[in-house]
Amino acid sequence: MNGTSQKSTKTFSFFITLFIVCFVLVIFYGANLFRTILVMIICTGGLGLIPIIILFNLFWLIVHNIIKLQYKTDLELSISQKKIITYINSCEKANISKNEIIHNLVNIGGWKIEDIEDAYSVRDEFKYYDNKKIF
Amino acid sequence: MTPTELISSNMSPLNFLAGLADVHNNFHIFDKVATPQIILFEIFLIVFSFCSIIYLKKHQEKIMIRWFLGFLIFTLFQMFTASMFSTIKLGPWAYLYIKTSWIIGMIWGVFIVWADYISNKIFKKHTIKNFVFSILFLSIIAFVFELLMISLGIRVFSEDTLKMFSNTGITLFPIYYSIIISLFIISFYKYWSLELDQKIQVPVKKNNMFSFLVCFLGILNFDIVTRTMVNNSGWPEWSYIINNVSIILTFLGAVLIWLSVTLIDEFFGYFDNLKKFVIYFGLSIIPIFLLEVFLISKGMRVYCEETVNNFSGIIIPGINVPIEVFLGSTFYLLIVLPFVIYVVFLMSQRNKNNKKQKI
Repeated sequence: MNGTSQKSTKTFSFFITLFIVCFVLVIFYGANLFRTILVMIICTGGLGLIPIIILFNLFWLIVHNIIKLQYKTDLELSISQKKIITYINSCEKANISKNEIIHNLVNIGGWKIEDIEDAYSVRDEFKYYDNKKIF
Repeated sequence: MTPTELISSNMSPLNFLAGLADVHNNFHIFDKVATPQIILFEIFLIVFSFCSIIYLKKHQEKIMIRWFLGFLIFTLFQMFTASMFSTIKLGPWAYLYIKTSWIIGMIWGVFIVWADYISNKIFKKHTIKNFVFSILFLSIIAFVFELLMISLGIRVFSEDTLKMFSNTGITLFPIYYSIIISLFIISFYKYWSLELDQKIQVPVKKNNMFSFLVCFLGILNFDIVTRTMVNNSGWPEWSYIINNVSIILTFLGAVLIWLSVTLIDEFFGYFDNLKKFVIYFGLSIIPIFLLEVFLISKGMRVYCEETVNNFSGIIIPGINVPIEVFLGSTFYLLIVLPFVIYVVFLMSQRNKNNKKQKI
């Protein structure tokens, strides 16, 4: 899936999420929806919005991932490989040496040398893809 | 007029807005009149905050975002604990929501940034030593500040809180809650600072059980501090360790939250912090809120009068539970979750093998 289609999937999933959330809220609160939201925001000093925003984002994430399944690429990586590759990519962006990366993964992360070497080779195989495009 | 009456009234939009302001200002009446001493105190706090921010801006990056993190978490904390201890007499200009004050939130934000700045000077960032030192440092400042507020008559305790403690207990209470509040507030701040500091987290193969023990003890202390807000009944006698705090309920809560953090780390460990937090939150809020609703319906969780008095009257349709119960569960998670995540993070980022493996 290329960058443009990923962006449009995100926008599409956003509007689907918004529609579902509004639909559910209208069923629950009917004509008083707008007033209820306004009173809730004012009566909680605006902080009542925080959980709503987080839950909306969660729902959006779920909808986005469901839609994304249709565009699934052939790249199948294990969770361990994804974790290690993400770490290696972040470290390389921060100019951390390969030795230090391996040292941290072994001594802090508890990974085996073979796991790390495997992740490196898988990543090199798909060098064209960055994190976002792989996962 | 109550918020519920306002929602169901047939007012025109303009009258509705006027009614909204009226409800916000007058629904909860308490002593807001500030004495000249308190006004001077407030001016001092504002000037101190301003000077601190200017000084710290030269020494720390993204200082305004850091300060805002501190302000946000303490404001949430004030809202959550308003029925236990609150701030009065600060003047009508000082309040954001009922007894939640922006001035107190602002100064706490500054204290938190100072605690972070000094601990980072002494210890390496995001280490256990740094974490413990910043909690102790903030606890001392918080305790002195609490004493100052009590002596000025700003800090007041609810009747339930006063009843729960003996004379000695209530004298020692500010020391205890200063430490516990600092623990949770620093955890929230440090957790979100990971993003600001662009700290790269080493993925770990397995989280250890010791982090669960630390999380359980932290949550237990939080429940002890906030025990006067809600009554727990119907649990076995042996499980009540102090007043109405049931160790079974605390254990259940700790398991749910710790498990959600560990599972998300296991399966979505490669996500960025923000995305992970949304999933941690989503996975924890469902069982926590359902458990709360179930216990309320069974009469095993009864909110104290002071807490109920702060309710706006808005009900969640279908389950007929006040919206504040849902907000309370979410605020509880917003405070407790970063603590659990940060403790799990600190515990997992330690060097497990002292001897270097041959690479």
